[in-house]
Amino acid sequence: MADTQSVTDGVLDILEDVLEIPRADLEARPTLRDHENWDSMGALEILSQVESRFGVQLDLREFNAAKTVDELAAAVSAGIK
Amino acid sequence: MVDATDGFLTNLTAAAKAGSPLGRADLTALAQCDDPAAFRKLGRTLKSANAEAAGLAAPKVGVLATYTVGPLEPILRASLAAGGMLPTFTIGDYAAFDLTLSRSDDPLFDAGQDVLFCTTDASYFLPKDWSGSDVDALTAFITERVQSFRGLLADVVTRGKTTVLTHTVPLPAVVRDGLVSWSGRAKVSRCWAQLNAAILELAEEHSAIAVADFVSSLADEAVAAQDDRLLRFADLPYTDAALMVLAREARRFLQAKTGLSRKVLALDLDNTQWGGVLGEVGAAGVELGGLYPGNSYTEFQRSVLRLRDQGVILALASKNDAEHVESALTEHPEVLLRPEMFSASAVNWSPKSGNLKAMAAQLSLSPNAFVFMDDSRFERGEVTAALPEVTVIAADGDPAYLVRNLLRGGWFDTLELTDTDRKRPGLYKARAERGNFAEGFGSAEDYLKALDVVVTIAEATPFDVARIAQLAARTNQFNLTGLRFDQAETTTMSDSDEHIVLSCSVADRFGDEGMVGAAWVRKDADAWEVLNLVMSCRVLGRGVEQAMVGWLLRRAKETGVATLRGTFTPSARNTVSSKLWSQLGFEHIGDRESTQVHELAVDGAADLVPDSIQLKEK
Repeated sequence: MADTQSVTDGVLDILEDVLEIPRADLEARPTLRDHENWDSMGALEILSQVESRFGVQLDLREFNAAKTVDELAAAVSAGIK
Repeated sequence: MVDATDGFLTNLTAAAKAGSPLGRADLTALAQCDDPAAFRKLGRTLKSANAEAAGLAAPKVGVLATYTVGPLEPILRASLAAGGMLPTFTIGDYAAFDLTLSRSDDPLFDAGQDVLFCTTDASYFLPKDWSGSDVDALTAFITERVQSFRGLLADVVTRGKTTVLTHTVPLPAVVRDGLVSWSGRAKVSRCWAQLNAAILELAEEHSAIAVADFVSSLADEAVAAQDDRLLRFADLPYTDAALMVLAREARRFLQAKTGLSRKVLALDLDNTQWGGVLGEVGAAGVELGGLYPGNSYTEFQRSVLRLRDQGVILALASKNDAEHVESALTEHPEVLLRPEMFSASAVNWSPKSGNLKAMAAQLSLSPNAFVFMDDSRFERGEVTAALPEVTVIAADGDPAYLVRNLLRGGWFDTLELTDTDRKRPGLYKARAERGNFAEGFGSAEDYLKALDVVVTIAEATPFDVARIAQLAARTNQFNLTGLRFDQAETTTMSDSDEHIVLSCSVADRFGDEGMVGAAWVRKDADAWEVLNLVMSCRVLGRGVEQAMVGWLLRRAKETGVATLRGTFTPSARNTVSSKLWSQLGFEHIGDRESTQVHELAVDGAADLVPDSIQLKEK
């Protein structure tokens, strides 16, 4: 099991990069769909970056079910095993 | 391969955001980068960039896909930027592929579109459902679909001026593996191979259709074509890595189409053309030929020679003692690239950037026509720093990769090979010698007379059209209006009574330059208007352009037309041709938008063909 904090950090890095939203903003408003840059194409880009960064393959249903930064990080952590 | 964490990405992003020119060396590094995430991000940043401010060409690109365009757009944009282009996209409607192709007034077919990129996936050619026990029905369906696709594309290029780029399509394993019988599976695979053959055949049947072999590139790069989740969730049949492969093909095609391909390959010698350092091990001690690693260098020399056969000009850039190199290249039995194969050479101890610059001047080409390959990081860095417009390829690492590294970028792509391409290295060698000959004359006129320039001008025949279209695509400096008439348009014009397309060839005492100029002229009742006149810069300064206009004037006199009209549209690169009309006595009568209009009254005009030129009319 990977260190939870480092996974969250990594996920935040990717979100910051793809969505072009400052990290502080993401931490203040962790619900992903609250950000107007969040759309299905962006989500898939995040999926592919998360997968290549952590070497995981996620079930798209679980990825789509993650509504917040923490839930997304949890889905990734579960994938890392 | 370049790591995306290298500084080039940061530099490019910063330049794009600041609206300043993108660094040429950074773009070359980008072209060698394989990270889709980097391309998607840069592609988004570049969306709001301005081509002129970024120092990039601005091709107009239509994209029509059988699937969600999504990530293709930013990846394609970044990939084209790596080739020096910032495209303006027109994206066709989703799920309206056939309909759009058959609608001739769709914005995708607007004049001025450089290419329409038609990208398809397997679902377009397959039935929604099919029976595993009736393989014949499945293959019949596929065959019918590909015939209809071919018909649609053929219609597009025959009804208008559109150039189409399309590609072969991989057959998903889930189709193949859905058939349990080996015989049935082989039959479907054969049918699919024929589908791809039929798509590739379009390129042989229509000069305005180009086909990239996506299937072979995917296999060679060992990239997964499909991510089932993306296909099911978002109708994305190709992974980002696969789209990168496709975008690279598009970059190569547009570079060739818009005259951005490179013309010269400048090669280091030690540890690039053979293993070892000549000055240390002697000619007999270098690794060349035989078994590994010598065979890698032999194969590399063979590939370079093959490029030369196809018109790539070779230059030698080596830090060595010249006589030592000359004898090794002449006498070593395994050397394939002999001294006479190089149109220019610089073997000395000076910095290579200066040598490349001098060789560019000798060949009358700009350094941005150069690809430079060297195993030394120091030499590559020195060239990049001083001449960022040179495309630099690394030749270090395992020599087995030399050929792949040389060819992978596709920097020398051309749409079609012409006779002039095949002769070019010889032509440029004659030119380098001509430079030395010129030093012995008092005046330019004396020199030109002694040069015995023979200019042959004729109306274009079907054999000339490919070369004429290539001149239109490749000339930037001596290109009066920037109108790049392609092969199809040129054919139409040369067949019509309302136009003249003329071709111009030049020979002198040093050799035959081949076809170097062309002009497209519209014949109205009262005036003939030169729509564009282009000439290769390698014959600049010999009065050839004047002879072309002189030929037109003679024809105009015979016909009795009142006025000869010339046009000129300034661009960033054609200043060299800006004075043509005024120097020939044409009067600047006004402008149409950015195009200057110059006129000459035919009656009473003095003959324009220069005395130093012997004009042959065919």
